[in-house]
Amino acid sequence: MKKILFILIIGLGAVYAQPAGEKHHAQMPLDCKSCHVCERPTYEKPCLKIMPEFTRRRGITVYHRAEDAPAVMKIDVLSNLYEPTIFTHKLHAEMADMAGGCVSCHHFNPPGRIAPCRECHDPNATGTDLSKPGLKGAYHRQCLSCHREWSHSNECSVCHAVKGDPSAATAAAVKSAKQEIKHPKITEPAKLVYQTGADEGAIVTFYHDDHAQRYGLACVSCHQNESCSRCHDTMKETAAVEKEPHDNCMACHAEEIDNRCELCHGAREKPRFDHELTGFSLARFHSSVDCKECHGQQGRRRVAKPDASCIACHKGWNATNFDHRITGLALDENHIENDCSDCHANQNFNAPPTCTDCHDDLSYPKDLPGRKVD
Amino acid sequence: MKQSRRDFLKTAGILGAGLAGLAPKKALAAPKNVLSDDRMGVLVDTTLCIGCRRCEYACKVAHDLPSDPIESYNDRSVFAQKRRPDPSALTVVNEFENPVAGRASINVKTQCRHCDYPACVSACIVGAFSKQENGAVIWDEGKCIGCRYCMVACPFQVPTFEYEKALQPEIRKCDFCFKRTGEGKIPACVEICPMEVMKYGKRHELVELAHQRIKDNPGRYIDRVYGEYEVGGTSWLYLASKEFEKLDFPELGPDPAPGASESLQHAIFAYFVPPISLFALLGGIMWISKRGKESEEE
Repeated sequence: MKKILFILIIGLGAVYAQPAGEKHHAQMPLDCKSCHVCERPTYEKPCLKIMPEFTRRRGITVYHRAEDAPAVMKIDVLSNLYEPTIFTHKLHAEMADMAGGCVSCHHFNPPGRIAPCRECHDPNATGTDLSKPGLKGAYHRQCLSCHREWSHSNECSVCHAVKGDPSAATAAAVKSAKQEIKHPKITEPAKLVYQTGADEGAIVTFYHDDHAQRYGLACVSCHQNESCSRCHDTMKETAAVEKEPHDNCMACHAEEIDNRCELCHGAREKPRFDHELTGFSLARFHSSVDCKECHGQQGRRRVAKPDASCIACHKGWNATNFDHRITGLALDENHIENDCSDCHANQNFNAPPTCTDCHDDLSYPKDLPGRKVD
Repeated sequence: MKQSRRDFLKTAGILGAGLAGLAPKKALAAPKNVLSDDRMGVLVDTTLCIGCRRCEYACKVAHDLPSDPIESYNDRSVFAQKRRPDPSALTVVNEFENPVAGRASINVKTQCRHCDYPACVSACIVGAFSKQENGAVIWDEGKCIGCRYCMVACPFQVPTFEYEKALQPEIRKCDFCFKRTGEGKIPACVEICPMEVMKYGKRHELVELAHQRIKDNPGRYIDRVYGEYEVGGTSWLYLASKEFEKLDFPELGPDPAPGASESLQHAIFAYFVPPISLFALLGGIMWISKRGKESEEE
């Protein structure tokens, strides 16, 4: 009997125990306060926060691309009063790339289907829920926080057309949805010259086109929290100045910001970066080569100096298969059989070739081992 | 019965002394102030307000005041001047320039703050004003004699008077929708607001919510909840993105507004001693001068 009881107790213990290797979440390195409102949550009264703050940013588990977003959403909560509001969803998703991204509306996006706003924001809210706005407040906050900044208008009719009379705005939205109208390509400045408050080298020249095209930076890597009104504002003359101008450059130029101010700051405008200055001209053969091909891709870090010798990349080249004419010098019959290293000591093709190994009285470039060609 | 001046003064003196003895230890001229722990309040997040003035419209409708059609409230030209509540508009929205270039202007709704220690209640000599258990400061037009002491006393210059009315003019101010809240509804302005700028709830929960919002969005707000401590605390609380003084909020200390005026008023009448002493002094002077005259005549 005792034995049976013992087995029973052990058995029950095993059933109720946590599975091995899986910790109860209370033992995980989590702050209880992130999810629970009260001091001592229990299973009966877990006092869970409606939407813990950490889920807004870090808790997002699924990201979608703007291209995959539905083109339009029809919002017809107030269909008894107004024509439905047509929200050009994809257009807004694209624009949001530079202004907070999808999370600025979809704060919480667990795997699976995308939760509609009304699942958290109550359409029949009575204004007594202090934790979050109702659907009316949620919609209006999302729309008006941007819209009033560039239109300077709170006109209800922009979104709400009186029943039976679709407004011009709604018609335009439907049209844009049908034709998949995208945000027009943003005209990008070639260079920006900033007058900074720095004591020495007050002028900073930033070649925007080089960074965006040559170095391949995505717009969103610098423009993350842009306000639409920065461009769309008829009442404003000057663009907002960056608050912390170094922040955008920091990701790649941390070392220069600390030690080499003169890279960007000068008494006058700086010339565009010229690869010629590094001692390796790109002009003739390498102008169309992507930076990555030689410098590698190291995230957003600054590129390291690569091995500049030809055979570092062109590994198969030797005296028999390399046509020397492409360098602008056709070798004469006396030299065409030579091994590369006979003239280019240590296969260093950046240094001038040496003639003295064979010729006591000749030197490059005064004497050429052939003739110049174009 | 012929009563000599000396007899009158004697009686007055005895009566005064008796009254002083009967008077309670502390002057209780201050009106009864019921501050329920669950009193209600409103948190106004001025960073959300877009200046649509729908609250002005809803307020007028809820209080049976004449109003223009709702579309007329789209007119933003009214923001050219800073407005104060008046008898025809118990709440008004004002507009202030945003210090951040290119960002939308800041709109601030103003109305009675429903102080926890209301100066109007203290100043009203007929007890027409009262602080209700739900937090509202309301007034009884039947009792009001139109002295307008409340207007002078209010640190926020809220109560207004129907000057243009010759007969039976009224004092008017926001009554925290006392009638609506009694019926279980929320204040009309809170209900209509499309941005949910305002939250109606228990005051202590709103204070907590306000600080939570500041903590969650330190860049959005300045670290101050206006009304938490000002003049002893008000039922209406405000959050803002820039200094409240720049949004025409008066700079007020944490002491209740009635403090200064009340202590002065009460000191004058404390235990009836100062008035009786004053009358005794005047009486004495008269008596002496009269006796001098009488002796001259003799």
